[in-house]
Amino acid sequence: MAATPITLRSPAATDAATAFASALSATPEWREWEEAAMRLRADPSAQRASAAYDERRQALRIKLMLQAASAEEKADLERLERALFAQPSVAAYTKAEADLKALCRATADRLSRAIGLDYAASCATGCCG
Amino acid sequence: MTELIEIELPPALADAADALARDIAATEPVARFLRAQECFERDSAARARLAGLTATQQRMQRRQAQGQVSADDMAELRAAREAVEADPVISDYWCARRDAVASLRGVNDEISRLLAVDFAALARRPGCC
Repeated sequence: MAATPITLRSPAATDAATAFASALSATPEWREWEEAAMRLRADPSAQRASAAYDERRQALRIKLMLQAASAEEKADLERLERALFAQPSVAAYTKAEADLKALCRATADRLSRAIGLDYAASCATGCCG
Repeated sequence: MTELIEIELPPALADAADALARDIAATEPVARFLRAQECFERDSAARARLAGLTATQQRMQRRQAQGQVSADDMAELRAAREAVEADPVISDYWCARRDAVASLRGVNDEISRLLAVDFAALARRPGCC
């Protein structure tokens, strides 16, 4: 089956895409997510907790893949993970991100129903694409 | 498109999504896909051929897992595949779908560029990829 030449961006779709992006970025969910991300980046305690967790996870990566990590090592990683998610700015970001994703999924569902294609799955760059 | 999330979108976002969906549906690749999809859905023989291939593939996977694939099974699968590939309605539907997905990805690229984040990735369901 030979590929059919297509126009990826029609002017009309581009105008509508601009209006859509503008409407999405004006929602409370989007603003809260942006603010939460900013607070997270500016929180030294959360950054330290994140670095400690990432460093430990990276150090154990191979052992975890091979299921060779000891109970103590797993417990230590879990302790660092709990410490990370106990940070108020991390918890706030996680909630803001979940709220934004729920809004984006609902929005994509609305698009999917109208165009007969699953928007998120069609545009995925992973195995769903 | 399973498990649609029922979230009431803010009116401005719902309007922008509807306008975007209308414009996407009017682009040549998506309009062609919607026409091809309609033709496919109206063609009971084409639907039966595709359903036949799907059923054969599923049966073959089960038999493969049990190590019971025979030469007759392979011939049956090949025949089902050839019947589907020779069907012009299915072929047109698949080609049109591929082009529509490529076009949709172009629209998502545009939205994502404006938002500085991949909108489709935000809209993806947990567990998908």
